[in-house]
This record gives sequence, C-alpha cells and structure tokens, in this order.
Amino acid sequence: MIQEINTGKMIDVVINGEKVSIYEGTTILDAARKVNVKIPTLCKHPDLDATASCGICVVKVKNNRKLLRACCTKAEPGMEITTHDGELFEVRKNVLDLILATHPNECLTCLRNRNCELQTLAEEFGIRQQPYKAMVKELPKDVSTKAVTLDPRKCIGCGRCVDVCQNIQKVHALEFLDRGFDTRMAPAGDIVLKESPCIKCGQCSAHCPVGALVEFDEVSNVWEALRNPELHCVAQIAPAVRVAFGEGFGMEPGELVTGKMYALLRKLGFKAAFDTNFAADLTIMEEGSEFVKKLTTEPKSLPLITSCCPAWVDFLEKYYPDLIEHFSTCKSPHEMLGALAKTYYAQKIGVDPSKVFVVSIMPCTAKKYEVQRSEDMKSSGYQDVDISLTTREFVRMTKSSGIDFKSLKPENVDSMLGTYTGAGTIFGATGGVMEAAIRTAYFLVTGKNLGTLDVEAVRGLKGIKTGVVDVQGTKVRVAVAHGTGNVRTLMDELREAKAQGKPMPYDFIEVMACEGGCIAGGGQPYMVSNELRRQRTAGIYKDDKECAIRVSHENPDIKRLYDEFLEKPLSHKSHKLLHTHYVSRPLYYK
Amino acid sequence: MAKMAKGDLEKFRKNYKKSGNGEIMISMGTCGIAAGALDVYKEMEETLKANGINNITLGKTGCLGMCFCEPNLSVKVEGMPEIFYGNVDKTMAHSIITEHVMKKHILKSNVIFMPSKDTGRNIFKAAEAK
Amino acid sequence: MDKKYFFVWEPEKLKQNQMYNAFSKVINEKNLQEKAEVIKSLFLGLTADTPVVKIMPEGNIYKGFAESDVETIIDNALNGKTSKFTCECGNKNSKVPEADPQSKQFKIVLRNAGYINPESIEDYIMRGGYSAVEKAVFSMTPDSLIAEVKASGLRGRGGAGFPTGLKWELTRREKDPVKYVICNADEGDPGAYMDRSIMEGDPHNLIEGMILGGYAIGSSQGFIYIRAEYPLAIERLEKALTAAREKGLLGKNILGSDFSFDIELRWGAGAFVCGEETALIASVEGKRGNPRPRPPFPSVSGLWNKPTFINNVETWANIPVIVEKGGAWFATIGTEKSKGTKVFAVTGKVKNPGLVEVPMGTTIREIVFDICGGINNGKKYKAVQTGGPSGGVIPEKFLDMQVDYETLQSIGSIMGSGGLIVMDEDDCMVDVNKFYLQFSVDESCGKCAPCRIGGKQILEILEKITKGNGEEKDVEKIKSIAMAMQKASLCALGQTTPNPVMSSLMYFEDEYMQHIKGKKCSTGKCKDLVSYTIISDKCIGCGLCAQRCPVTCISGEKRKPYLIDQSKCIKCGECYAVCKFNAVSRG
Repeated sequence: MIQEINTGKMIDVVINGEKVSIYEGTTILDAARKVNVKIPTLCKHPDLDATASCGICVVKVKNNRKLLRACCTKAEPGMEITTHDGELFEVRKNVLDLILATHPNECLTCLRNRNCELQTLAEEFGIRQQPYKAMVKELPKDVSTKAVTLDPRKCIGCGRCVDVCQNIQKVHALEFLDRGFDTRMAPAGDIVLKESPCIKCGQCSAHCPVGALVEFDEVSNVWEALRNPELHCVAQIAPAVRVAFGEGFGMEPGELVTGKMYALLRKLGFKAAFDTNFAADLTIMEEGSEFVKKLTTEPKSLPLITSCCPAWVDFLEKYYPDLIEHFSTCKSPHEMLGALAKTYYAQKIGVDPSKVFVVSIMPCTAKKYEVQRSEDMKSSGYQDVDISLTTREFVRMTKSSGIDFKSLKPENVDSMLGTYTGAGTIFGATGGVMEAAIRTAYFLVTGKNLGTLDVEAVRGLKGIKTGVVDVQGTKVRVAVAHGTGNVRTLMDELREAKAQGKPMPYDFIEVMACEGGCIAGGGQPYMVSNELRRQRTAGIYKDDKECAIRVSHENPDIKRLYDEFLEKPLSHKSHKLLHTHYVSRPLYYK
Repeated sequence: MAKMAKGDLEKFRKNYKKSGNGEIMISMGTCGIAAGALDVYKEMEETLKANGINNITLGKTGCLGMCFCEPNLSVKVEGMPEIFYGNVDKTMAHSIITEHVMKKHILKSNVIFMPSKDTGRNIFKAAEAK
Repeated sequence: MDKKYFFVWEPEKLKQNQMYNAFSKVINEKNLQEKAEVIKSLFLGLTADTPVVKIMPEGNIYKGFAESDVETIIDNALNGKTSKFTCECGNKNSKVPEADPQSKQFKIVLRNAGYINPESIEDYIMRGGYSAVEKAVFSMTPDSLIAEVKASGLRGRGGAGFPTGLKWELTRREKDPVKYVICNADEGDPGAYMDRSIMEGDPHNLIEGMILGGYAIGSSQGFIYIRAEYPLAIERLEKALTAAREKGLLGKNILGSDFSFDIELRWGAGAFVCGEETALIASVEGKRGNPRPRPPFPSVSGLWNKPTFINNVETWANIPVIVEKGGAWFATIGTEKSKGTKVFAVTGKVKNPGLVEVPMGTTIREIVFDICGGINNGKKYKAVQTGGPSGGVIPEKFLDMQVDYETLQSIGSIMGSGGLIVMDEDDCMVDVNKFYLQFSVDESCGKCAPCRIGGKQILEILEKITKGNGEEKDVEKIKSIAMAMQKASLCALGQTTPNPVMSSLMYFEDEYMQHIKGKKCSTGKCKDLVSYTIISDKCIGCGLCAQRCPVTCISGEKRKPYLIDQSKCIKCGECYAVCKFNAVSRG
C-alpha cells in the first residue's frame, strides 16, 4: 500500500544505510515502506493526508536538530534517515504510554478487539505496564443514529474521522470540540449525531484506528432472530460484500466468495440465501425505464440521479433538497428485495409475511439507517428489511459461529430472489450502476444490446467521470461522482446551471457516497486505500465478465417476477413496493 | 482630507503647527485606563474649562511603560521643563492644573524623572528638528 | 527659561531629605528662589546607592557628591558650568550617538509610545512617520529594501529569532503573484504586553512597517491578527488605518505611486496557540486554530495556500526605523548575533515593573536592578523567567550574562516574546511551574498526543508533589514525559511546554527534592506542605496574630503564649507575616 505518486522525477535517499529511489514528493513514511521498513504510526491512514497528530512516526534526519514526522515530511534528495534506534524507540514508547493512559482498558469488551491499531502497537512495543496515571475521560456514548456508534472515551484524537468527514466527504458532521486535554471529537455544537448533518456513510468508522467510531453492532439481534423458531430468516448479500468478506479470513482483497457466502448463510440457519444483485437487476429495470420515459417524453426533467445509496439520499435531502425532483424514485436494491421477500416470496412459499425476517449483509453503515428511513420502507406492511449488518459485523458473526469459512464449498443462490447478471454485480463499484443502466436503457430505446457492454468511461477512481453515450442518435450525457465531496462539485454545477437558467449539463447521473463506491463502503473491512479499492473493484468486474448474462433485462428470474407478480416496470405494484419519496431535512435538528 | 503624494510629508511637517503653549499628555493605554487615567483626564478637562484655560492641549498618549506609577502624565508648560507625574489621582490632577499650569509651581510630590523619557524623541532627529 | 530645576533623589536606605534640605538651604540662604528650584523626585533608570541630582533644562545628572558640594553644584549650574560629578550610566551596548548616555534604555520600537497621541496621524508624521514608506516606494527597489533589512541583522521578535530579512527574501522568491503579509498580534504569554502597548501607543508604526513589508515581498494585502481581548488596540488600529487611507498612505496607489497595499484586522478568539504561525493562518482562514506540520513553511504556502509572510508586532515596529536610518545603523546596536533592541515587560516581585526597551546584550542585572529598581521589599532575588510558559528560569549566577537569543538558549531559557517575570525568595519553584504548566495545558490545541496528554501528566505529577505525595521516581517520570513532548510534539507550543519545568529542575532540583523527600516547602506556597506553629518561648502574647487570623483559629490569653488550631488553619501565613517577634514558625 505504498502511496507513491508518480511525479516524474526520481530522487535518492538513504534509509537506515540503504539507498532508496523514490519519486520526488514521497513522504519518508512511504519511502521507508518501499524498503520494507515499517515506521509505526497511529494517525496516518494510507487513504488520507497526514494529520500529523500522534507523534509516533518521528524519525531522525541527519543534520536536523529536531526529530521529524515521517508521515508528513517529504523525502528530499540525499536525506539520510534513521527510522529505528534506542532514542526513537524511547520517544515513541513514551508517546504511546501517554496515549494509553487516556485510553480505557476495555480491550476485551471492545468491538475492535484484535483488530485495533492501538492494541497492535501496544503489543509491538511490548507495553507491559502503564507508567502514567490513567486519565480516561468519562463521556457518554452516542448511538443516536443506530448506524454509527461514537464512543468518545476511546478516541485517541488522531483526527482521521474529522478529516474524512470534512475534507473527503465534506459533510462536516464531526469536529473537534474544546481544547487542550479536553479536546474531543464530536458533532459540531455538541449535539448527538442524529441531530447533526451526519449522513451515516460510516467513513469515519472505516478509518478510525480504535473503537471510538464503529458500526452500530446488531450481531446479537441477528443471532436472536435465527434462534427464534417462529421466524423464517432469509438473508441477502450486497454486490460489494463478495469481494471484501474474504479479507476477514485472511483471503486476498477482491477474491470472490459469493458461493461460499451462500453456503455460509444456510449453515448459519438462514432459510434462504438471496442476492442483492438480483434486486440490482430489478433496480435497473425500474430506473432504466424511469430514465427512458423521461428521456423520450419529458427530457426537460432530466437529469435523473440514481438513488441506490442511502448516505447519498440523506446527503441530498439535507444539502440539496432543491434537486429532489431529479432524484430517481427507485428504492435501493436491498430495500426492493426486502419488500419482495415479504410479499412475493412469502406468498410463493406460503409463509406468513410477518414471520419472514430479512437480514441484509451490506458494505454500508447507512443501510442501517435506511431500513427505518421512512414509511416507504414498510411497503410490505412490515419493515421490509429487519436488520442490516455491515461486512465487518458479519465477519465477526461468522467467526463466532465455529464455521470455517475458507473451507466451505460454494453453493448456489436461492434463485427466486437470487439470480443475477453481470449488470447487477457491478453495482458494487463506482460507475457500475451507470454502466448497468446504460446497458439496459440502450436496449429499451433501440431494442438491441450495445456492441461492447464495457463502458470504460464510467469506470475507475477519478472523482467525477463524465461521458456521452450515443443512443440511436440521441446523445446521452452521463456523469458519475463518488465520495460526497466530489458529489458536491457535481451538484453545485447543476445548481449553478439551474440558477442561471442554462440547460442542464447532464442527462443521467450516478452517485455513490463513498469513494470508490460500495466496495470501499463505510462498513467494509479496514485499511482501505486506493490500491485496495482497485483490487476489490477488479473482483467485481471479474464477476461481471464471468457472468453468462451481463444485462439486467435478460435476467430470467426478473422476467418471471414481472410476469408473475409485478406486471411491468413502473407498474402500480412496482410503485407501491419498489419506489419511495424524498423530503427536505434540516442539517441540524436543534 | 486630501491624499498625500510624493514630497507632501515634508511640506506637512514644515507647515504644521501645534496650537497652544502647553501640553498635558496622559498615558492612556489599557493599563493607564484601568488604573484610573480616564478619571484624571475628565478632572483635568473640567478644571481647564472651569478656569477658562484654552491654550493648553490635553492629550491622550499610549503606555509609557511605567506601570508602577499609573496613572501618569507629562506636563509641558512654556518656560518650564517637562515634568512627569506618576500615581496621579483626581485631587492631584486638579492641583496640576491650578498649581503647575496656572502658577508654574511644580508640585512637591509624585515627580518622576526617567532619562529615556527624552531619548525616545531623538531617533528621527532630522524630522523633529523642523 | 532662566530658572534651573534641581531634581533630587535619595536612596531609600539613606536618611531621607538630607540632600533635598541641603539644596533648599543653599537656595534659601542665597536667595535664589527666582533662579533655582529644588524638587524631590523619583528617579528611574539606574540603581544608585548615593543621592542623584538631575539639573534641568540641561539634563545633566550628578552622582557621588557630598552635602558640602551642593553649593558648588548650584553655583556652577547657574553659571552655565558643569560640575565634576557627572554620571555616565548609559548602556554600553547602544553604540549609536543618539543613545542617551544616562539611560540603560534605548527606544526604537517604543520611540513614540507615550509621547504622541496615537489617534493622531499628524503626531506620527511630525515625528518622521511614513517617511520610510516614501523613501522605499520612490527610491528603493524591493530587493534593496530586503538587503537593508538583512544588513540590519533584525531577527523575529516573536521568540524563535529567525532572521527577518531572510524570511522576506524567501517569500519574495516565490513565484505566486498573490502573497500575503500578516502581523501576529496574538500576544498571549502571561505577563507580556509589549505588543499591546505598541499598538495602543503607536499604531501607525506597525502599519508603516507592514506597508514596507508588503512592498518588499510584493504583496498588496496585509492582515493583523489581533486578540479580541485588546479592544483599545483594535479601536486605535482601526482609527489609524482609516486615517492612513484618508491621507493616501495606505490603500490604492500609496503616496501617488503605483504601489497599493491595504490592511485588514482579524480578531483572534483568545487561543494562545494561534500565536503559532500555522495555527494563526488556519484561524484567519476561519478554521479551528490548529497548527499543521511544516514544511511547507508559510513563506511557501501560507494563508489560502499563498506565500505568506508573518511577523509579530515588535518586529514590524522596527522596520520603519531600519529603512529610515539604514541597516548598518541598526546593526551597531546589540551583540554580535542579536541586533537592535528588545522590549521586555518586566513584572513580578520587582520594585518598578513596566515596559523597558534595551539594546540586545543588556544584562538581566541591568534590567532588573538598574532600570526596574531591584526586588521589592528588600527581598532576595531568586530567578527571572523569560519566554513565559515556553521559557525557563535564569538563576542568580547568570545575572550578569548578556541577554541575547543564543545565550538565553544556552542556559535553558529562550528570548520569547519579551515577558520577564521576576521571582524572589518567597516564590516556590514547584508552585510557579504548576502555574505555567496549567497555562500550557489549557492552551494546548489538543491536536497532537504528546502535548495534549504529556502536559496534563506532568501537571498531575507536580500537583502530587505539592500535595506531599511526591516520590523520587516522579522526577524521572517528568523527565521522560518532557523528552517525549520536546521531541515528538508537532509545534513549538508542545515542544516548549516542558521548558519551565526542565529549566527549574536544572537549577532548583533541591527545591523539588525538599518537597518530595522532606515533604516541605520552605516558601510556604505549597499549603499542604506547610504548617504554622507558635513558638511559646518567643510569643509574648500580644494577640496580633489572633486578631489578623481570617479563620480565628488562633487563641490564647493576653501575655501568654498563643496556640494555633491546626485543624482549622488555612495556612494563609498572615500570622507569620504580622508577628513582630518571630514567634511564628513556618515549616
């Protein structure tokens, strides 16, 4: 995970006596990684700029009076760097001792136990006692969002969450309050997260080195449901989960574990293993039709903006309520599947829908919020999805089950709500929804499939991607943004055009709140970086490539669903079960 | 007020004349004000008015750095050396006008002299001389 | 002015009015009342053990004369002659002719403060103000201006002492067409008020300095980051800015030239750390005032990522003089590596606290004893603290050391911004350091772990020591934490927070040990380590202590030894202070 950016010019530095060639502009920390020297750090995350707050990564540079922070000091030609010696060890250990003095000794009951950067460092430094007086701040836990849990007592003040919330996501829900020793991370104004602009994207929790920001843990509730003989539990897995879940068991990022996961679900006691990818195909049918309808009958109402991402929905409702009219009314795939599980599926297998318990395994913390977002999420008459677990929770749940995940034999999905196409699976990566939609919209307009199904223009990690698709002479201008920081730029462009009475710059826009899309969602395994995003994305596109069918409109079980139950896209029934409404929400509730 | 151009500063200095034939400058930084310089200022203003003296300028200045004897002020009256008084209260402020200014009697207490009081004037000798 | 005025001062230790009476006698006997007057006066600026007389209007100072010489002195003065008692008490370090041979002080920065009406731009111009701007804009290139500042040897007065000219050059060198000039007026050291006095007393001086800085680096916009707690300074600066704009000395086309420069005020919300330049920049930008790592230095990427030049008020106030009188002139003042003068705010247990401006290289003894009159109430000197909560103590053995950046650093203190706090024998070093540390702990921005936690931990240990629970290993713990803080903190605040403790440990370790091992505080400042008892042999039973005791815990019968009820005693020390018979013991 070397964040070495090609700046063109190579320079040489000496690290612990060894010469290293690196690109100009590389930090000492990354230069050291290149020669496999690990400089310890608590605050530097490979995904974020250095906050330079922990003070553990200090190194010696020859002819420099002071120790320098490796995380934010750029290597300069000829620098002679010492990364490890007795003095540095003492300084680092002392700083670590100081940090540990403010951290509660609750490792055993902590959600991050054995997966915590502070704990790992304490172990590596051989911390056997606490020389300094324990000074743990007694501050209340914030579980108000039921998506992300904030436990300020465990915060070590690294600033990653604030950085990601303010500078990457540009949500500005988190801020540092107070000063000096009393400094703590909290929503600005010292309110609870639920009353703040928080969009529940969970990027804070994905970047937190300790247990200060974690997903709202609901594993025990799922166990309880599974053990309740009254309930008929079913589960679905999101597109992005299948390329990251394996990481929890030492597998390579991007390794596809779909079949193993179906097997796992059944072993855990779920009566059916469904796949959110199926619902993604369904989404394309609905959303694609919605788009084609607008394109052909009322092009003035374009652009159409995708709505699969609940953090994005929240962001829009809070920051851009004036653009609600452009929002696709489609629910997100897992909500669609939940609604169908308690109607179509329940009917088919003859189970009382009130006894059907839907669990979704998602890469996302915002899905936890989404399941209770509005009355529309009870379209089946019951809460459509009962519990949404993040990938990380599901890893822990699996570990507690005694099942050896790696050795499981792949199984098939329960096809009623499970068969998926390549178009459904790419929902997991940025650009995927757009690509899937283009594949189907093209067909809906022209009656034929695109020559090449790969739409390269919308793939990749560039913050905002734009392109033009020629649909039988009609130029469809598309844009894809991921990471709400980038989304802001795009939405401001729309707002600006609107304000000036200019034509809209795009016809169809895909938005995902997390950078890289769901594969790097707020509920995915830790230490995400662009390298990791690429690996997981590669897994997603591999899945797409290996699918026999790669367009949603050819999914046989989708066809069957329409024939037997929904009639046609945008039908009355579809609207009732698969679509939703949006409202303007205040940024602050107090 | 007209904007100045090149050379105007010099002309200004040549033509500028302070009115009156005496000046009282009270140190009125935050420190002086906190120590009561505002009361001293008001008392002097009233005393000057009550006695019909209008050729003495009563001015504010910044902190002279003599914290231990605030409020303090300097009195410059024609024909007498500049006298610096420290720890001035309202009664003293009154006497400074009635005795020092009006009768040219230096008060017998609270006179302070500090060599550098005059030093500060000398850095731009050239400008000052005109 | 024919009349001669004799200002007489007599040291406290001597019989008062002896010389005053002698002068009066001669004047009266010779009937010189019309020609001479004698005035009792307080003399400032040098400590003398013999009487001093200053004769006005000549301004001669005589010292070391006897009562029998008075007549001659008066005669000579009236005849326009000098007497042989002339006192040369000036500062050897101010090698310029303008320096007053009779004063240790030399005022460059404070040249106008206290002399002019700060709200009158006319007063400032009359004292040569804005001529430096005229000179620079019409007859100097930015490079020659920078060369002049470099030649002056001026170093940043904010504490670290970085060469100002070099900083200007680095900022000028940056290619970006937009650059900013900032004045750091976020003066926050406890006991320091140099900058406030400059801004309140001579705001145009600062403005002129900044205009020159803007011209030198090629900037058209300056900001003054000033504490909101300085309302008077803000008011006077605003007035001064308006006046300067009206006169065409600030704003578009200064003095009709093609150089434009304007200044805006930005109020600080009172965070000490915002004196750190990167935190200050964040605050000006409207963000939380947290420091960020350097490099990049603000000279490369500062305010809104533009090259930015930051200096503190005192540094800026030197610039007009340097431009007007030349860098070479300026460089004659001071020591080899530290040029010019330094303003100190002298506070604490000193007789005449106040603001002093002395040439670099003046000794602590000259400042504390000569200029400020020595220690109050005849107590013994213990130490001075320079650099406030980031500095250290200077014990008695260094009293004659010349003050400049390097020497202060070599003995474990720093120049700092100019706070100079005098401590006497009654000050407890552990207690004093608790104060400084509490300050730094409160003012830490909380961003980086060593500073945020380390300071608090040391403070906790000091608390423990002053409560009588100290252990010998605590000193070691302090040293380890201090090491981590000094080496691993991000900004100067954290790196210097342990300085006062470390420096006092260097010179006053026995005092710490007295607290830790002996569980005693000899100064009585640490209330938990002190108890007051009445020595029955010495007590005559006057009852004064009982009268003065605020909690009435002293009781007894008249003319019999009194007794202190230890359970009620609040250890205020009043009984100890009032007893005339040394019958109260502290220990």
